[in-house]
Amino acid sequence: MRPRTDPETFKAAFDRDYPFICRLVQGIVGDFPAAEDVAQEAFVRLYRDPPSDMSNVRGWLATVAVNLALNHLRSERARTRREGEADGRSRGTVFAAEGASGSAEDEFAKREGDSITRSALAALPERERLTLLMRAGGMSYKEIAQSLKVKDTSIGTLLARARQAFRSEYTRLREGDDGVL
Amino acid sequence: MCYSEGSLQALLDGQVTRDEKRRMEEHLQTCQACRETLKRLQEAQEFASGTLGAYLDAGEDNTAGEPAKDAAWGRVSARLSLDDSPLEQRDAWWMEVMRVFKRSRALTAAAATVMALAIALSFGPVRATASRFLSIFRVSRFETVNVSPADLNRVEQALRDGSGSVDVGNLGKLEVHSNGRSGMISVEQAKQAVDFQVRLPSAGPNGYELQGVSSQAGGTVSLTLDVNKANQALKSIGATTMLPADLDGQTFSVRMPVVIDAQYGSASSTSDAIHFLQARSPELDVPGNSTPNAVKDAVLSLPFVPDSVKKQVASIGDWQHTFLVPNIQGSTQEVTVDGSQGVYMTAPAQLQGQMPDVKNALVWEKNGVVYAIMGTFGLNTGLAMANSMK
Repeated sequence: MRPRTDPETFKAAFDRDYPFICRLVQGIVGDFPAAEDVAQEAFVRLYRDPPSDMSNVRGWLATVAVNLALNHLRSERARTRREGEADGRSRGTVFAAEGASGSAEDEFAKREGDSITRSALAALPERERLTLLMRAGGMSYKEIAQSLKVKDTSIGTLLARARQAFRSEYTRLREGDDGVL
Repeated sequence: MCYSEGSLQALLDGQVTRDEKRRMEEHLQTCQACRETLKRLQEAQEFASGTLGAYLDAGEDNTAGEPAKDAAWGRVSARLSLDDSPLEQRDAWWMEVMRVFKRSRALTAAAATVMALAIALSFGPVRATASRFLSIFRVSRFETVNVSPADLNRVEQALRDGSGSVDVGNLGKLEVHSNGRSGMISVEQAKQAVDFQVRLPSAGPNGYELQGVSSQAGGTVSLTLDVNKANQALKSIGATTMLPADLDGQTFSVRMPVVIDAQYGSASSTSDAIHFLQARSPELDVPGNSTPNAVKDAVLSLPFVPDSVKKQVASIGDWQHTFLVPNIQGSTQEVTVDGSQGVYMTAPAQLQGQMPDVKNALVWEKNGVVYAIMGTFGLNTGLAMANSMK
């Protein structure tokens, strides 16, 4: 038997990190149910095959979840291509729609902020969006480069562009909203 | 020489070596342009990290709040409860099967053909004494056959190459008759609809109650074989042994029973329902003489049937009464349930979102009735539910 994560540590990590990981993955795969499935798979792997260093469980989960999410995205796209669907909408577009439809009964302002965040993320080119989310999930440049199959040295450039684009998109959307209201 | 945005960004993220960092800081002291770029990057970074960090950490307060987390925990712990059993490697055979079947639409027709042949194959060496009569297939045993993902890939490839010409309709004349009706019924009506005692569980997950009972109509599906056409189809998927001419015009039929489906769930959610299915065994009539062996030989000659599978299939003695369940990488296990021998199959959480029908299942046979529990539950929960049925 391989060593397993101690059940109490595992439950604590789940309570603490599950929502975070779900949102991180949602930024990549688009819809929330698929994100939940990916996040759950990451936790199952944490239990069955934990890292030797348990000091940064969230970072480990983020790396595993992001890679699972990327695989999911690639296989979904490959399937879409095979089925020859003329409709070439990317998951990013779905993501924007999901974000915009979130209900907002209480904590209206905060939810509105969430919705703007989702829309701003969705507006970024895919590679920049992924880089930004992975970095926010605590992954190193090297880990991000491996996941995206790009050179280590291009991550800084991607991130710099992504952060500036995110900021200006977020600002634009917020001001656009104020104008309407 | 000035630094690129990317290098300055790496400096801000602490992703440069100590030497690089020293060189960059020296340069920054003398270079106004790089300092300005750095400042701009830093502001964008602080904004993005602050906003995104708050967004990601606020996960618990969004529409998928605590109840969703509880449900998720239930699913994860259900999957992990399997780890207590001796079978180690359990990477979701459903996943592999569904991946293969999703890949090609044309495959569906070919798969149906092969399934039909595989059913016929599963009662190969029928006793000689029965050969003049219809051999009747009744499920009373379940056995697993180990299949690896590599095996599946080979089968898939072979079927895809030849699938253009394969269709159930190409094999002969297909007739379908149904009896009974489908729809929601009361428990009393369910008891009237079948000739065996309907059993319901007295123990389930906390808060689960009977949500409703439905019946699915039974019926008969008959295939009258056109040997020429069937052999062409077999040839197109690479078979070398053909069906004998005397099978031409013979009729194979499957009698599907009325199925009772009792659905249990919690009042708040229908997504995690557990279904208790019960029915008489499906029955399959085949024409007499040498039919079963001829069909078996033809199917086993297909070049893509893996040798390991052929051997396992050949070692199963009681053809007439055995239902074969594919076992891919150990995700299916034989268990004792409700005092009988049965099979427990697991599905990955990933698929449960995408394909609501693909879940864990516990299947067994007792006193001529086939039972199945389908839903999201661990083996121990499944056994407890099964054993509580009255």
